[in-house]
Amino acid sequence: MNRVVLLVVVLLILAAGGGATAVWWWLRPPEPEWTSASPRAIRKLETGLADLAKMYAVDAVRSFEEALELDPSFAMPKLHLALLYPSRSERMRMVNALREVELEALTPRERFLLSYELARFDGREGDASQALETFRERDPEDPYGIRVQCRVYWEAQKWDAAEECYHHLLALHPNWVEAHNNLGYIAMGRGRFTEAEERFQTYRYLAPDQANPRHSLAMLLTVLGRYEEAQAEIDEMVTIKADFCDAYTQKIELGMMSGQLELARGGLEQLRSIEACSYLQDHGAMCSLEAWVLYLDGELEAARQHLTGSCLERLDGFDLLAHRLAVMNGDAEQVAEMEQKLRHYLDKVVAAERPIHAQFLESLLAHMRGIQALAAGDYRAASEALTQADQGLGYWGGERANIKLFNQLNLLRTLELGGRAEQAAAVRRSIDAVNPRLIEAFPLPDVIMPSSAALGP
Amino acid sequence: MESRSFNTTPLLLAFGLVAFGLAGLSIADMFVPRPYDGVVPDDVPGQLVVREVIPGSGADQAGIEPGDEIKGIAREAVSSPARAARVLNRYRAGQEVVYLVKKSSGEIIFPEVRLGLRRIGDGAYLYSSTLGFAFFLVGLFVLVRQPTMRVSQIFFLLCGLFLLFLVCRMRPAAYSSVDALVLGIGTIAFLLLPAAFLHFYLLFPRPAWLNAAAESPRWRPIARLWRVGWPMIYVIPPLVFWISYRVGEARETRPELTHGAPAANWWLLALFMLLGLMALLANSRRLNSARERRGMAMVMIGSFFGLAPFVIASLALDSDQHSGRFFFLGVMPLALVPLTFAYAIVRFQLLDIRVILRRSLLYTVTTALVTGLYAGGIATFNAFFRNSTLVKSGYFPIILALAIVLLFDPLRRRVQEVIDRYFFAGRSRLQRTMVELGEAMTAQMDLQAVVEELVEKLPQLLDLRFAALYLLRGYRLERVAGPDRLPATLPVLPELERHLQRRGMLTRLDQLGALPLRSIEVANLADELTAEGAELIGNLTSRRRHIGMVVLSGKQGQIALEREELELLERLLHQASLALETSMLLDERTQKAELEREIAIAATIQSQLLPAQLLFADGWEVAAECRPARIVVGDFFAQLPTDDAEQSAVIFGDVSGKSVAGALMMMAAHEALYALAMTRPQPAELFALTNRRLYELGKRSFVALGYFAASGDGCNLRYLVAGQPPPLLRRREGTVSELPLPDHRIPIGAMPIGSYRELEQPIEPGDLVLGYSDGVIDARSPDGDFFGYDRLCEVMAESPADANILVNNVMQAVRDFTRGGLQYDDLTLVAVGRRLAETARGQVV
Repeated sequence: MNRVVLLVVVLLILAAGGGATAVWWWLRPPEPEWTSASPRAIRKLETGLADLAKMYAVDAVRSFEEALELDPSFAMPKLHLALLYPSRSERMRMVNALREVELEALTPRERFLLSYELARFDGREGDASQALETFRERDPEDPYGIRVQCRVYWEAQKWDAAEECYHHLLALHPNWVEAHNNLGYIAMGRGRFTEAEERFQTYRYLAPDQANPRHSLAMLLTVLGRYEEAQAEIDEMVTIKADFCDAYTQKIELGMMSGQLELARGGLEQLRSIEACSYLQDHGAMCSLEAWVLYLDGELEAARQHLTGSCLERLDGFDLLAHRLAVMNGDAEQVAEMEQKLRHYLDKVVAAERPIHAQFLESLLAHMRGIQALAAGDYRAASEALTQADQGLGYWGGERANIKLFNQLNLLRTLELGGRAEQAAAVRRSIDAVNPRLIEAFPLPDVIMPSSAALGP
Repeated sequence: MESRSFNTTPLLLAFGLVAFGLAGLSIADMFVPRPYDGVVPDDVPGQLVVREVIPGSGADQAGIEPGDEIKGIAREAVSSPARAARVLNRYRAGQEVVYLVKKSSGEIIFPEVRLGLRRIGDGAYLYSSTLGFAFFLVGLFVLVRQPTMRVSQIFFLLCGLFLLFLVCRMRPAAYSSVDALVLGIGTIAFLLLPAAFLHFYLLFPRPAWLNAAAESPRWRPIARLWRVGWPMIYVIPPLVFWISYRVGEARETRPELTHGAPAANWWLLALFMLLGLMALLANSRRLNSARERRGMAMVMIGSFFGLAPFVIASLALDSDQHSGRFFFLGVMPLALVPLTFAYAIVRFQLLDIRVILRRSLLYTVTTALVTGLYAGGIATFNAFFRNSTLVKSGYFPIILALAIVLLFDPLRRRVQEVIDRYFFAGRSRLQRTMVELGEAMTAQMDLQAVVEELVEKLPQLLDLRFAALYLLRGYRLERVAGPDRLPATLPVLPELERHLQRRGMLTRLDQLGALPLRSIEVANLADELTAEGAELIGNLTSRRRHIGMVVLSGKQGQIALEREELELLERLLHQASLALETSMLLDERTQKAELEREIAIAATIQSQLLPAQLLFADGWEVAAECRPARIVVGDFFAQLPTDDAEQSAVIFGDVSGKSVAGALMMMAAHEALYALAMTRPQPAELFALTNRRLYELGKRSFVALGYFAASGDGCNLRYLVAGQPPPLLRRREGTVSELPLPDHRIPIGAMPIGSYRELEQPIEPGDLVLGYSDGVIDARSPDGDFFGYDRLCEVMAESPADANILVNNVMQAVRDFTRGGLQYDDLTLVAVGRRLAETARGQVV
């Protein structure tokens, strides 16, 4: 029995030693994540990162600037400002400042982020990939490394890889909201609406003080025809952040989809009155929305006029509604020009090896062909082209989901006009499966009918 | 049996300690107050799925239901009970937190849940825990009783795993941070459980199938495979677990878990159980002992009816219906396994374990049970006839009390009869036989018969391998019965005797405590006896004397002697001691009587050696007397021829040593002197020759000798003294003086070379010379005073000049002085002197 007593004593000593080590490990001060002598600057940086996670770019810029004021040598705020500043000159000022940073003084994560983004600024994509690969090998569990990796997949539209990557990120950091949001988008794009809603709901649950998750959710709910719920989310968005532009764009889309054009007009008015949303004018998004409201309100000529000139230029020279109105107006030259521009853009996308985007653009071209065939009364050709477009389109985000639904509505009408009731019923079921209220609430104007092929009286 | 390179018992005990600690932690943790929502999570990896909701809890009130998936708590995503625990532990009971719950219908809800205090295990868990600890205690008992048996080690492992499974795995999970640890440990325990189960039943109670397979050419490869590959059975369950997960991953599905393990592992348990029971059946058929076969049958029944519902409930019902509702029904009969094991051990001494139940305790429990049954019966009766007039009657309580009095005792006696028959029959039989053996031994008067009764019948009675008896003979213990391989003699070790007297009559050799450390002799003795298979040593002693020792082996098989058996044995040995003492006393008395007779003969022979009449020279008188202190005598006197053919000499001797040894030496000295004197040597030469002869005897005994002879002219006394006191000369006028002595007067036989010188003393008529042995002056009064030289001289001075009277007076004076007290030494007096007138030539008084 003496041996047993000895063994027990040894086990107790080992247990005590293990316990003491565990306590020491638990109580040891955490290693700083960010390199700065100013704790306040670090807190400001973290506030900025939180803003960024909420998609509050303006707030994030403000926080990063404050951090930089507190510690002018702080590298990370410079890095984020270099990515966020709208002005190229300001961005380049930050990039140049970043080039002066001593890499040795930074943590491995900071070194990686800096070298990665600098390589991207310089167009050295190979170096950026190498930096990412090296850092991922060194610390495969670092959330920032995983996040950058996921964004690479996301931007390259490698949805399977992106989905897997975000799942990995969530397994390690289940509260990382960007992952929930992007996974929701991927699920939505692939027609997995329940899963997408779950993701967006989770995002909304984790970040109840943020407007962005409600926007994602409102967008999905709008596509699904759950307009009242979408409206509630929009209202919440505005309550949380009155100048959250996406709240008003979503309100406009909701108004259009649900046939509540007053709502859409109200949204447009609010959007115009908010200074922070002026950038939408620059991007052409505002004029597109305005044109759609006019179109749905039956003011076809006004819509066509709205989409000419600078508006169309801001839309890169092509737009589905502009194309549709041009077809209806018999403006073959403009139609050809828009198709030409779209093809040119498609060539660039194919050259950039972005097959999914290329597929989307091809679908747009097919849609345009279908609309032309429909206007020409060639229902068979129109239905084939629109079916082809439908097969290539997905529900990637609100805009593209709306395009897909819009395309399906045209296909439905084409099949009905062509007397193919059975196929039309199938398309109707397909639309109803996604949004059972769409056909009722979004009566496609008959303006594209051969009888009314011209816009003029 | 697989070979073992080291003793695994300490490791197993360490495992048991850890298992016990974990089980204790699992239970203790439930009493730590922690915020709790009332959800019992299910075993779904990577998800927090609700298995059960405690009625009335916060979760219940918030509408959370079984099957719902909790995806967030307090604005944090959760995907496991451990993560939920970390989040919840930041809150206090009474606070409300928002949950994110995906209903089983797919709907997402955000209920607000008011946190309460966590629940303690319910009755089912209490039962599972009690059962787990019952398993553990039975296993520990078996291991402690048979620590070196491989099968008892595996049994302990099995019981430890059952403890972990029943206490840790069955624990109502409630997000505690300890949950992940104990549930994980419980799952590991379950994974190893089938292997330990099969391993145990393959070896229990002995791997008879393995031995049989090893002897059969057809099955020998199986036996060889087992000897090498038995650890593989412990690898299979975790492997199955791992494969289940890998297959699930390949199919992009998670395996359904039933109590932490996929269905494949439950199927494996069922398969191993079946194989184990088959092995049990195969082993039991090869057992020779009917007692063991009955025990095995009991274990088989308990294992089958205990384990089959456990597997069926978990596998067929819970796994199929994805719930844990039936599990308790499966766990309930599991109690049969430890119960049947405990019963088989108590009743049939399985695994060579004998349990002595305390009769009084068992009867107390029986009485309590019977009382409880009666109380329950009366309560039922009262409830049944509650509304009847019978209950309202004033006679009802009296009739009921009478019924209790009448029925209670018979029923209790009936139950006790059953207990006696099942648990105490063997013991009663043993007790009775031991008493009979004790009585038989006590009745025996023959020592050999007692020895045979003890050494031959005791092993038969107690199933010992051998018994040996050592009896005290002189200063050592001689083996009088027992196996030859045991030492023929044992030393008498007072340290051991004292220890045995303190500890009781019988002690295990390995329980001598620190005694071997204090005494190397005891250590050596214990080692020597242990090496020969002895396990017990006992002292045979009575109030009067130490009789001997008994050495006993252990029992056949590996059953250790129980305390009650040891007590019976001690009582028997006590009786044997008395019987042996009686026999030995009788034996000794017989021997003593024979010795006394022999000594009487020797005394007669000795007395005949002393001359009836002494002759001396003309004109001389001589008187001598020898008074022995014992029957035989060491002193003597004799008449010898001298170198002068006309003269005779008188010698007187005092042999060192008493009793028989002294008597023999006296005879030897007498005969040597007489034989050598026949050649008529000079007295000094006679002494020298006799010295050499006696020294050569090598007994290191010697003789004090005196020699008187008259000179040729008859006027002088020729004398030699070797070791004797100086002779005294009494002149005619009454003065007493010592005769001159030579420088050396070494006793005869003391040294190889003796130097003796003859002296002459002129003796006048009327002078007397007295030679005497030291017994005269050393005679003691009852007060302890010595007779002494002065008193002797006084008696001589007062005596008349007559040798006879002088001898008589001295003897009388000594008698008067000693007053009849114990005579310590032989007394010899030889008196010679020249006569005043012609008298008789010599006389022996």
